[in-house]
Amino acid sequence: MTSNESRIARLRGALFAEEPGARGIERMARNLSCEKIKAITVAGIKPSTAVEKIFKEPSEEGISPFALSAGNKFEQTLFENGAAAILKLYRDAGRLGLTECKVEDLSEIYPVRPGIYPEKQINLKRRENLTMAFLRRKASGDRSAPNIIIKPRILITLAGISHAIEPDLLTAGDDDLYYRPVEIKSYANRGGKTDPADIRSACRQAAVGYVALVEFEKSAGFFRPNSEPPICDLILHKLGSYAPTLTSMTIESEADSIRRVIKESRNLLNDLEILLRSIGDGATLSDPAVLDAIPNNYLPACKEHCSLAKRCRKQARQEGNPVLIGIRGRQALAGAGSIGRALELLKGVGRPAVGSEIEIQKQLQESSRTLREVLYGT
Amino acid sequence: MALDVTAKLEAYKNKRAQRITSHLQVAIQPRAMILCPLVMAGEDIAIHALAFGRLGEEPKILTVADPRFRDDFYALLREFRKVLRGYAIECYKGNEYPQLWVSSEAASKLVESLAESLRYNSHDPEVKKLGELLTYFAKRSAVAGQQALHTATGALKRHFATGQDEIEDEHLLALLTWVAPPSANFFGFLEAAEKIPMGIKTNPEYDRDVLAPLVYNYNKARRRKASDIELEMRKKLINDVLDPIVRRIYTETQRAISILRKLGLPELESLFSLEQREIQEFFRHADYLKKGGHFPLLDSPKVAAFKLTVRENAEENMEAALQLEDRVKRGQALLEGKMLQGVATRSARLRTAPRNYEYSFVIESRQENLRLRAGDELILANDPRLRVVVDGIHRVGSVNSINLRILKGQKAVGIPATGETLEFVKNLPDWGRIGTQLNQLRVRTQQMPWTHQKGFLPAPKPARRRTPENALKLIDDLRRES
Repeated sequence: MTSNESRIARLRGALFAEEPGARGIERMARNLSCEKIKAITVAGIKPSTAVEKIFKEPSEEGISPFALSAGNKFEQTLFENGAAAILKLYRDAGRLGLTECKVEDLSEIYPVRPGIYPEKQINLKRRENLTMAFLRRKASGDRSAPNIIIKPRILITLAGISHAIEPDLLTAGDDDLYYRPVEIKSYANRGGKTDPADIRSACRQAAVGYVALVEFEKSAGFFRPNSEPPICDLILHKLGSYAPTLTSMTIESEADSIRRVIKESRNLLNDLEILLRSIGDGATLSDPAVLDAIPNNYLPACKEHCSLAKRCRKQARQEGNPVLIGIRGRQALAGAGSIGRALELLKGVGRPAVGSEIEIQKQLQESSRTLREVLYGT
Repeated sequence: MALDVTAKLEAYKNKRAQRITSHLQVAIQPRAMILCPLVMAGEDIAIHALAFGRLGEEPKILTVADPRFRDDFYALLREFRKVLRGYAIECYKGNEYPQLWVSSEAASKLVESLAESLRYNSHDPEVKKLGELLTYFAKRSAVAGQQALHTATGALKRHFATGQDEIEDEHLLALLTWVAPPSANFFGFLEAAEKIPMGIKTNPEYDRDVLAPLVYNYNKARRRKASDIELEMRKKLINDVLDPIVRRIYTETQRAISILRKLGLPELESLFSLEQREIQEFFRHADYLKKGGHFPLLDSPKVAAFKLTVRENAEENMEAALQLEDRVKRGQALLEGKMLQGVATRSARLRTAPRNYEYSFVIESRQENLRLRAGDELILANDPRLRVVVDGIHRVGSVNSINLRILKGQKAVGIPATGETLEFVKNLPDWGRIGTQLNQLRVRTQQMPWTHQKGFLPAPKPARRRTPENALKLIDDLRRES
């Protein structure tokens, strides 16, 4: 265990470490102002684990067995017969030629059966090593490097610790020097009508893979030129069938947000230690009181991706956080600081308005008067 | 500050939704159909259960043991198609338009997906016809002011502001808890309401613990070719767990509509025009289907241009209509400076030619956020015959003086009397304008622009000014000189 790993283990307390994965890092990027999500992600605790094991509540996070089955079936149709469906997809898109058909399925080469230790750990490590070997070969111009790598494993550094992430695929033509990350999602491609939140999430996960690839290339002495824009591929399926579709997406802003997460995480461990020390001697994140004391940045969208959202919303209610009435409410009432204070300003009670509160009070009273006049004639 | 932020603040304080309209903004057809589908998780359109019925009536509920089996799923769709078709024929004969109500935006998007997927179905002609019929609702749902496909959450949100975020408002039962709150333990009730499925999917835990084992056992029985009696029994077990869920969604959708009706608000004036437009669109669609019309996979650029124009026109008209006809929206527009309100002063008459005069007057307004500039044309809100142009704006202290010159309506309306309070808007709703716009577009698109012509590039235009051969050297030289 490295010294950083020991420090994190001390902060984490009694729980076992969990890999954040691309999803965990992407979750941090969605809400970089939330100290709570940063703390538990860096400490190796998933939000659902925090809810179940620390707060002893049902996490309500889970995937329906039907959805799991649909996702698995879609992947199966893509990977079977030597990933024939994926090869056809890329050939039809003009991305791979007929001879560019080298596929390496790391999940078959080094299978991982759930619960069988230490074979699981050994094979995962082997996947990492093999992935890095492929990346080196590709970056040095080896045309025999695979064109498609299924279930690769790449390392990314978060708060000074290496974490493995598994993009669904990496793909590159023989003439390409760099692999492109590919995310496979089992929702329908409806063109411009596809849910933008789903696309954004998939792109951010791919961006984690992209940043990890660039990090590896730099450390190995290869360097992707700036002229190569960050791009990922999304494989979705056609509406009402399992026929795959391929869409390339630029992920410049997503990659930037992941880089920001990585950069900010460098000081995170120190900051976290100082924060926990300020809460109490020997405080660990496994203690519900300690976890509650860590500031959050509750947003209404947190419900989509974080099991702690309900608890954070409860806290926001206790504090009277204006975000409870929406992002526009938070922006408009930022100067007031809380819903309680905003109501005081509206009613003209409590301490007199100062600074930016004066304008907020004026606007609140004017709009309230207008509302009463137009609705009730008063 | 937006009125709705204040309204949300009041709602939060009172733990009760605050009304934010003076008029009813949606038409409610007395014989509208309510549609509540439940889709199997992980699937796009595989409907597991469907509740449907007319306003005020009990639902008919159809379920499928496993909608991943196409034959069973299509049987459900064919059954529903009979009912929907009957409803459409009834409307056609009665010179009305059909109206569908669903619970939330997710259900509305499902109607679109169903239409997109089923109307190209090559396996079952009846299912294909259902897709074609649903296409009417799907197409209309994108147009502002349409009355064909309503979501209960969307309709309620237009009339009420709750003390929660808009994302949370998409849960129908949570929204209804704000609109018709309990007498005590408000947040407890709200959290309990949020756990009840109101969209198009059941909860993952429910799937895992209840539904999936039943479906799994049904499929096992099917594979081992169990008796019909056993298969029916297993189907009934699945039906018995899905029925209460979909029935609840149906009931709450009915409740939402009932709440809107009981508000007793006068209807927005423009609703009549909107409903007339809806009838035309429905008849156009129905006649197109009668003639055997089909739907291309992708719109051509010309069709897309037409559709975009229709949507933009609808958007502008709705905004104008709401500002003019709904007192709350008008109040909002005044606060935001999108409407001008003030007192008329200092009228003047200027002779521009023999027997030709220009009339102008000044409006004094205390609005702080006026969005006006010289050259803007305005229309008198209470009498659209009077049209003016802004010649200048001056602010002294908290008073804006806006110089207005009359363009039209001098004889019909005349110069406003000094001291009269007036309101001016930039646009009026004009539901007939779209005809003129589409005719213009028809003429313009007879020749497609070069961006939409294959293999055609326009010749480069000659440069207006001579460009230097080496611009960088020129800049460096200038720098050195300075």
